[in-house]
Amino acid sequence: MSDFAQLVILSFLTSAASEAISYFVVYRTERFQQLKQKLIANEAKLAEEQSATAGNSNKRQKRIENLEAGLKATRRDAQGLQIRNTLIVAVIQVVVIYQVNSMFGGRSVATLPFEPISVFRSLTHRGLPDDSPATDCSATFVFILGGLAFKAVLDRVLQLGMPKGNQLPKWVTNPEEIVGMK
Amino acid sequence: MSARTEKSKEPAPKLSIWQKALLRDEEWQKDELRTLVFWIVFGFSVVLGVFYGLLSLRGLPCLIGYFIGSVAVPTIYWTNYLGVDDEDFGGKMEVLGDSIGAGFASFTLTWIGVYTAMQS
Repeated sequence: MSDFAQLVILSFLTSAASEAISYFVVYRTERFQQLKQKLIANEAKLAEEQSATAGNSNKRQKRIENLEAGLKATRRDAQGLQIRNTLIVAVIQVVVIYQVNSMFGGRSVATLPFEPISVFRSLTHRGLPDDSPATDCSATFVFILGGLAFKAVLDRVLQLGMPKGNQLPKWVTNPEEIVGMK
Repeated sequence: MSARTEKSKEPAPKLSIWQKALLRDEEWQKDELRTLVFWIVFGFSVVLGVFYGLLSLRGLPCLIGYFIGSVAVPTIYWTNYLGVDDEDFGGKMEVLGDSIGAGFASFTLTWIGVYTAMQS
């Protein structure tokens, strides 16, 4: 089996192990399940209020603000529960990346079909000799790419964590409000 | 009351995301739409990565082409086919959400893997 295929499998196994640990440490606990149910119910109520047009608009606005504050508080509580889990998963990732570096260090595992910009070269060239071609690809880069892709897919398929909700920052979703144009 | 009228009062069966994805002008919840868009972007990324790799395409224009396609393809689909206005869900970026990052990782991984296999 090629180095590339080994790394892809390793990154999948690491992502699956991280998800399993998250399940046993956090997701299956009664407190987390309660918070998840509460969040889903409140998000449904918020969507209903936001789409409603009948009734007093001031009262509706007040209800929307209360629901949004409740959602923020629930997410904060859930994040508090996830701290221990996040630390465990981070330690696992660091240990596996260290292992990957020692297993594949010094050799190129793939050929990049593009020349990476200098900012990313420290990642795509990690552990490779300085005089190797710019299109040589390090094991760390493949492992991290695999981790990002598999983590997202497992999140979607298993849906064990909190619903995503509005996680994008406001400067992405509504930049006009930030710069005061609205 | 006739049997036909009785039948028409029954609530419509709830369709899955994949059934709704083939129908026009259905009602969408934000989570459903985001899940659908995630898989569209993911599928597009993997297919384009394999395509680029098989043809041994390389260079920055391919990356730019991917970024344009990964936003344009789902947008055209939900606007022109599903009849969804993304402003109802907080805008284009809100619907695309985390699909862009995961899609880019899948695309790059597939492109590098297939390209390397074609070179060896």
